[in-house]
Amino acid sequence: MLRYLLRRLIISVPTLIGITLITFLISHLLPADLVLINLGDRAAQNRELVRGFRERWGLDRPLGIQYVVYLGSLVRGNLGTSISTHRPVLTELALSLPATIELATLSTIVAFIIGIGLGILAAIRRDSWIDWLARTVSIVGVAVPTFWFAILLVSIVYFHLGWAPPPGRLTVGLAPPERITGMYLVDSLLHGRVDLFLDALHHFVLPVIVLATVGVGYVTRITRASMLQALQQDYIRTAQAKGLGQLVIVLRHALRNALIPILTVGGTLYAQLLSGTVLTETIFSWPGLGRYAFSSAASLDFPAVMGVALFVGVFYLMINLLVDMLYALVNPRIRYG
Amino acid sequence: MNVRWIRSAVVIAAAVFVATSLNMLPASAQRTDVLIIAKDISDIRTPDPSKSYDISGVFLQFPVYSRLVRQRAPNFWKVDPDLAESWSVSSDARVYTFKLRSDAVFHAGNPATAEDVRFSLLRAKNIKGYGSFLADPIKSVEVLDPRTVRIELNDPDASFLAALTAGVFSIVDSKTVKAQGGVEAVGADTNDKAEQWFNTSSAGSGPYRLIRYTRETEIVLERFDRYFGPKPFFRQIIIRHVKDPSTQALMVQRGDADLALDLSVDQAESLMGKPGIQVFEDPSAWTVYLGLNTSLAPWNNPKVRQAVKYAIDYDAIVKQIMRGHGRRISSIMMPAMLGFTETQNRALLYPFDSTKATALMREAGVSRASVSLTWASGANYGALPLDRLAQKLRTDLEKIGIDLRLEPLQQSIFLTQYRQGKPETAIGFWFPDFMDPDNWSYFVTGFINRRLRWESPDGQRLVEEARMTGNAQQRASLYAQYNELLAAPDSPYVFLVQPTNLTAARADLANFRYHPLFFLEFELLRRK
Repeated sequence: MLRYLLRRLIISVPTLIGITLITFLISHLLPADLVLINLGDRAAQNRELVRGFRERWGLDRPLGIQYVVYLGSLVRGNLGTSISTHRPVLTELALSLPATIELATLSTIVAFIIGIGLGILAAIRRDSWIDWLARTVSIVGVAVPTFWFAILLVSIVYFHLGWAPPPGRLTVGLAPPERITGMYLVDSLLHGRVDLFLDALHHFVLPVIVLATVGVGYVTRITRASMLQALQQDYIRTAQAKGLGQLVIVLRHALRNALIPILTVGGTLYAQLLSGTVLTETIFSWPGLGRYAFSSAASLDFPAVMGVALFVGVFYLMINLLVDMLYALVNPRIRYG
Repeated sequence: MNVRWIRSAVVIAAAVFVATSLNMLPASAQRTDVLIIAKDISDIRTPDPSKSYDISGVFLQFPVYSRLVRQRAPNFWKVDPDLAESWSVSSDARVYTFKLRSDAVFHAGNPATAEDVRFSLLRAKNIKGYGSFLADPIKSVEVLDPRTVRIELNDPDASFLAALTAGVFSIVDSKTVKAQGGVEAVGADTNDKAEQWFNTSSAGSGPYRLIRYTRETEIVLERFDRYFGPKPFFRQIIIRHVKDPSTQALMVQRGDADLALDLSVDQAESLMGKPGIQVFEDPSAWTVYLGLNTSLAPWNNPKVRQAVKYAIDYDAIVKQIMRGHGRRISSIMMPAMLGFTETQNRALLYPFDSTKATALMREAGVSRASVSLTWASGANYGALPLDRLAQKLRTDLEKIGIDLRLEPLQQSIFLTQYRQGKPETAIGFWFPDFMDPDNWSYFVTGFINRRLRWESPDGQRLVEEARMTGNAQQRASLYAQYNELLAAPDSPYVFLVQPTNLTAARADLANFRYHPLFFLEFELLRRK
């Protein structure tokens, strides 16, 4: 297992280098002038300011050298400095990542619980009303445009009904808990601030509904399909013949075998949500990774854009690895040598 | 399960439901001395006043820092005292001497002195930030005594007094900033280490102190009780980042915010007349034009340029696209400013006259032409949505045989291309750095006009002379000539509109004063 892990980690290095190379090339070959966008129209008139800017960000060197310098500092754990805010990109990421991690994790958990539950029920009560409901939910969940759904929820649940707070992570003016992880739910509990925890949780409701809805769609669909397949297997008939209870048959025999495709979909879903969701974050004023990526790209802040791309790459690699290891856990026939 | 437990749970749930859903009082009524503003603050790069240049950055600094002089709405052309109680300008507009007021103190308790002015102005210049080009004219800053400071410029510049109202010239507490690693000498661009400190603190002498700034989250300001001006009504001001304008509108309606600052024209219209809401309309500093690249057909033909000026249904742009929230302009400046009177603005307007436009096209010998139009897609300048404007222009010019091919571009790509002079036709705008006519002079100096391959030596001479002239009347007459020249039939500019700025507020808010560059005068705002 350890050897397998090590091999996977080594294989991931070229992938990550590829990601940095592609992002670097894209951000430098765009038909937009980096100096102009960052300095502004008027300041870009001033030769000395432009020269200083190019020197400071290494833009006066050949593109190849710039990339090698970037890789060099990357190896030393330095993601560079943001052109916009002059702060280390790592610090900036540490500010926006926790908001996204919290939101993505919560949404994935909700999507899994509802999706798997609904999928199982639909599979064992095939063609009943619950199956019909599950199929509808999976179509709607996948098809509904996220931003439209988000705006609709804000308008109805927040504005007309007043059941949810306005967008944001905490009530206006409330100081966030002192930073430990940057995740408000975790930090508020670590500081013993139940009031802050509840306030933060309240603010999660709408964005989690939006993101989980998409997930529920996928998870329900895949759970239903693979459960249907599993329930038709011989071992299920054997289990039934043995006189096992329905619950045991469904959960221990069928679900465990059906879990592999569910984990695959779930892993991709989680990685997607972790890479940030620009529209949902925009509508809910959620200062997460998606917003950071978007504003960095809009201002051509290339060290920041590359930092985000690298992190997203790492997420995908890590989650793929995690899913692969979970395969072995749920299905003992899969073993890595 | 225990029935009593279930019953009490139901009662609690019902109570919570009632408490949250039947709360009839708007939230604003429950927080008398706290003001909540919903605004998009995502463009703030740094809260360091000497470096900041973006629109929301200036918004953040304005209540926190004082400058030597200021301009107040509604007469925002007049320069008023701020930290300086009086000043004198040499007859050649090259040496400016300021006498400081004696009662100003910084948030840390240090008195504001001439040394702080010297430190702040030189730091703004040498730190080479985004706004540092505004400090280019400064040659030296000299402390004559603790309350007197003299600024010498490289060249005569009558616009400098107005320039000093800009955010980059905020006066900071030199003792505090130095203690945080701040440097004002040459080399400050690499030696200064204070920038990050400004994220959590402020070193100003304005009516509010910065308590907290979190990127894309909020800005929290607290009243500074030793402010030298009138005591502000609000104890705390919270600027909440809300990117989506329609959410801003919802928040004001529900009373979760007192002010919404980034409304589109449709949202503002929908809020007008709603109970508990007032909508303020103020002139914006955006002036919008259509730029014609004179090196290309058909724009290289002066008669075609003239024809376009008669072919556009300007009133329909104002009435339909901006729903009446703006007005026509005939030159790049804001009407009613020094050098551009309302009378002149009206006199120079082109009437919408399609017969004349068609006749001019015939005179030009052009029956059909195809040319591209580029603009920053999705952008709004105040009450003007550019995408709709582009479609309207296409419809109007089609009638005289010009096929405008619409080519919207992402904002930063548009800016790059326009600067390189690539667009054949472009929707351009001007938004000033400070309120002096000199800041509108770039349409002949080479900065904007070269993008359209057009030169005007006469215009250049006029604005250069005006910059060096101290006498206001003389300046006014020179700028009037400049405007006439820009509005000439063969100029490459088709001036369109000046949109207004729309702000929604809770009905109990009073003393709202809007400045097109510096936003609100927080210290005057109050509840009725």
